[in-house]
Amino acid sequence: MKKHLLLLLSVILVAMSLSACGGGNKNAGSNASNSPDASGGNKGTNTPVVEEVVDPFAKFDEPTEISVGRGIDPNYKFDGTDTSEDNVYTRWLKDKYNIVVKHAWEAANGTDYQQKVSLAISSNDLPDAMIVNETQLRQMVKAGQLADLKEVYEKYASPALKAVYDSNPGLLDSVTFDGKLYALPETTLPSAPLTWIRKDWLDQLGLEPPKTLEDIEKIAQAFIDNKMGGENTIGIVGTQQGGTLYSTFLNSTDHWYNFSSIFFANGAYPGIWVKDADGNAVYGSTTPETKETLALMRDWYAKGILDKELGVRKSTGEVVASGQTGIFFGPWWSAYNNIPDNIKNDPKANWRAYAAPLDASGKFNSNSATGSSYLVVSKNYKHPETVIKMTTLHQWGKDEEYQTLTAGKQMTSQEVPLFLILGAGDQLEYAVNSLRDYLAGKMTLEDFDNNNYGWAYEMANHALNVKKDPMDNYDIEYWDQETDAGFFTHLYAHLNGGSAFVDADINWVRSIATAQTKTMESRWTNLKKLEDETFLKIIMGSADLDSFDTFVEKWKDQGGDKITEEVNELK
Amino acid sequence: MLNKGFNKHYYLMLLPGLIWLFFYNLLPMYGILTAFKEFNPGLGILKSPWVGLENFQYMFELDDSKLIFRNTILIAFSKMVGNLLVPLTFALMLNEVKHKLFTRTVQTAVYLPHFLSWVIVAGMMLDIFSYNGPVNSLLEVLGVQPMMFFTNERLFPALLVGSDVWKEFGFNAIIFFSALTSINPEMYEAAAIDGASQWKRLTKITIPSILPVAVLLATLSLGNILNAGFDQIFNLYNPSVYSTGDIIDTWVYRAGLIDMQYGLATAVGLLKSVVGFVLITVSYSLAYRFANYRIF
Amino acid sequence: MVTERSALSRLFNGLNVVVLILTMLLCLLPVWYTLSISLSDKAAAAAGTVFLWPKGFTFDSYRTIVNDSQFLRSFFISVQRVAYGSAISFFAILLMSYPLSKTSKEFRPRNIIMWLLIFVMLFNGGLVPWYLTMKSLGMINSIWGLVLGGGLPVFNVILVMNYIRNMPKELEESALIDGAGPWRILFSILLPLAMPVLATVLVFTIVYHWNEFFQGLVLMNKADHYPLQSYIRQVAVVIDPTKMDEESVKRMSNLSNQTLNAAKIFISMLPLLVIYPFLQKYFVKGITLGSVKG
Repeated sequence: MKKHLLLLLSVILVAMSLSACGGGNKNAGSNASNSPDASGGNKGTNTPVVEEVVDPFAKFDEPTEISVGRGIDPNYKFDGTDTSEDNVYTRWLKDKYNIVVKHAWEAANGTDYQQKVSLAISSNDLPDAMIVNETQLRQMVKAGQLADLKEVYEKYASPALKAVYDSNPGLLDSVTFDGKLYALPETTLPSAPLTWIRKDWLDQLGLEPPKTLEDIEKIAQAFIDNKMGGENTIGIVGTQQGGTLYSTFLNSTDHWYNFSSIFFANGAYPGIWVKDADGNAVYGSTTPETKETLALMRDWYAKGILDKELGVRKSTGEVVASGQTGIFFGPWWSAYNNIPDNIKNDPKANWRAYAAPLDASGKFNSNSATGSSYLVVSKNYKHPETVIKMTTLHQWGKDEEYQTLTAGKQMTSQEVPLFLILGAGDQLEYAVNSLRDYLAGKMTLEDFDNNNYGWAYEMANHALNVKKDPMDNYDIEYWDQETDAGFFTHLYAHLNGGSAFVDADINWVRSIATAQTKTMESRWTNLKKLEDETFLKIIMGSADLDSFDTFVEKWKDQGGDKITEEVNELK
Repeated sequence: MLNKGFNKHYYLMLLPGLIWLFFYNLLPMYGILTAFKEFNPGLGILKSPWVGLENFQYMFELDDSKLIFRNTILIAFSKMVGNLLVPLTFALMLNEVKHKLFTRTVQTAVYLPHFLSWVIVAGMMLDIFSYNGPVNSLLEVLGVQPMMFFTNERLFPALLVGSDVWKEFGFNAIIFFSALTSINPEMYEAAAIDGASQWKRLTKITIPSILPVAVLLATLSLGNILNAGFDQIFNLYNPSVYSTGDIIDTWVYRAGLIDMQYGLATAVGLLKSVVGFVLITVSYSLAYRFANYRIF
Repeated sequence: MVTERSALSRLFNGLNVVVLILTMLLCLLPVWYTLSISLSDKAAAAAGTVFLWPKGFTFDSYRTIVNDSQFLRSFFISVQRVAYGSAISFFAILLMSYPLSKTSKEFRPRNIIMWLLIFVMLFNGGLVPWYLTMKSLGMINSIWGLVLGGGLPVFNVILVMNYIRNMPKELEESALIDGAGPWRILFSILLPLAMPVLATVLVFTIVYHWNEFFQGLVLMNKADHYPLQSYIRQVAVVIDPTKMDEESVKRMSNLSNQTLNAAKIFISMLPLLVIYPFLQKYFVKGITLGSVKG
């Protein structure tokens, strides 16, 4: 579970930027703070007004109640006596828009929340709306528990909201079943696993940053031989207990602390459906490339380059924090986690991200992640339009009154009910590029598009507090960690990890299937278990490399062939 | 002794317990029907369509079923034996010490691990048995190559049983303590006068006195033959030890996590219950027939 | 002969004590370890250098926990739950055990009820129907849901029933001759004699009610109503990554989960550790199980 921690942090920041500064995409910009009356904001849209279009920012005529199941953060500190049910934001919703949010129940985010949701679904004791995951969504669709949002979405969604979904093609289709729209899905940013290395150790040993798998092997061996992390230096850390070796089409963890990178560099895409030479769907875990990668990992494990406790380690993060290792794979936002702890213990710890390893032809491969949160509405709820309206308001309804009320404080998922992350794809890119230009003096604060990229602007405001000359060198000694500690982490992650990601030329490979097919519903648990067990055993040397072939046969026999057929139909 | 007039008082005494039992234990039992249905939460349990034995059929079709059942029984049975013998031995050993303060201190101490959740015990075990942990350091001194304990299929069940016994033996010994302390001291005095040795007193007085309790506990725990300890295994296992460590409950949990297969889960649960019930019934009649001892 | 035997006996006793002491240490170490971690500085705990003594001694973790008003509220709910729960269980078990300890000749429905109890002990309908039943009984957000929700503790009934059944019949017979009714027999004769087993069962009940967290999560719709273990668990539960914000990032980096968790575990077992020695004296006092007819 821990793996999921901070996952998609990027996206949150992006969403925060949107919510903080109003103004979504293009035409909705005029809804923002300048407009004295939120409902007037719509006047600014350039789109020709279709007849009977409902103003997405209008106030309900009478108080409309909505009961929600709510995930809460028990550690969150509200202002004064505010709670997640009654706070600045919910009062604003109530006073200004007549939307009254009531909690059917609340539970701590994570396992507890998931349990509550599952119980609500299976006992058919549903709140009007809540956020669910992919499995739960499918279960609810099957049980006929959900409201069709198609009509209210067309009618009540603001142009900006529609623009977001339009800029993420296929997203709404993935939640449309039999022509009925059953959820509002969250958007996600693409993320590729980078290689994170202690550059201070590289420098000490006179080594170059890695390009290929061989480079990484050599570096890891050198780190171990020279005891860079003390007596028990661990070469490369990754999968922890309960974790996966690589991200799959059902469980994207942004490749954090796993070994996706090694597979990608061999042209292997385990865990997702890819096209073979003839254009047919094939499950990546069953390809010869995957076998090759396993052989390599088996070799690395035997040599002690891979963490001996791979798969059973309690917390990979702790190893990173304690400075025992110098290499791991993870997305750009990895710098938010554990690395700051490591720096605190050892101020010289200079973690840098590299777009490596490359494959034999010099390409940097990655698969692309899928989103996992869905806002759903019970079919028994009389006013499904409330949910659309709330989503619109959350992103684009921030008027002057709102700004005064919140006194500039950013509203988080703890204040905002039914918090959904929505954003167009270029937020990170804009933030990284503009920050670099700003630090290089090629751009001023005024040049920032504060309306659309508020978070980038916010960070730029703090950039000079934390970054020291030379501005384009992100090594740890050129940062001021003390003056503005909160923003140090943000800028450090964006510039160190973010630039490596933005600058990388990534060869994206998408999974043909992004959800379970019919046969998977009954067979997948079994097949996945077979896969996990075989792969881990091969790597650890407790099974022959040839057991891979047995695995492929068994996998096909036990439903894999049938599933592949089903996936082929999806193409 | 018969006293018919007492019967209505007996009923009255049973009443509070039976009311409790009815509302909180019996009413939810209709959920057992889920095992024979294709559960659809939208329809609820009662209205979901019947599928006969399909859930059971599917369960047996699964490649893993045999493996999971075998692992479950093996682990649960070893734990059962360990959790009976170790606390019993421990209680007997402690009973031989006559120093009150000492016995009480030891008793209080061994009782502790029971309060620790598996999450924390598992965490500590993974630490202690880790590649660079104290156990491997010790082995290294003895000239044994360091190894990965928790990815070793053969060692895994032993580690499970050992840690479970470690955690629970103190707590399980309470009942034995309580039985031991209620042995009439006069019996020991009489034996001492007869010149019986310490060993004789143990085998002729102590063990026979404590045996019925042991039999009772063993029988009651038979119902748990398919409970191998979800919390523990869930916190300790990993895919490389599935072949010896994956049990019914963990398998069903994973199935449930991927898609909520309540029918299957209930079917497995029901099968577990039936097996437990049969075992208890058998041991009840065996104990009654051969030892003329009624367990309950 | 005699000296040889006592020498052997002494050797045995000596060994016995040594083994017992080792066993005791084996059981105490992890708890000590937990305490050390909870009192350590987060960096030291994360580096894994803490073992037998806290490093960078600090009460930070405890301060974090106790400063939370929710902690005290949940603590009180747990105390309430244990109090009600053990009182109700105690009387229900005691009252049931006596008639059930009769033979089926003395009390006809006895066997049927016994089998019903065994059935209930082994079978259950699953979480969903249980939840729906609890809901229709009005047990949601109610302390009574926590007190009664686990159902009749059948295992404990069987234990006490067996104990009473094995008491000398003469006790009851002579009371009958004195003209005592069933209630007086139960309360003034059997109750005091059954104290050891009742105390044992009481400990089981207290531990159960104190440590149980799942029902709290399922039955309570707000953290305000959580018992302590549910509360402690949810604070430790990982924060949803997709709903992460700056504050959470800061909090996480300021406080190691490891030290905080250790403190929580320690605090949550403390009350039981305090109570146990007081109940223990009843075990030591025991009286009659010895007259078990072999």
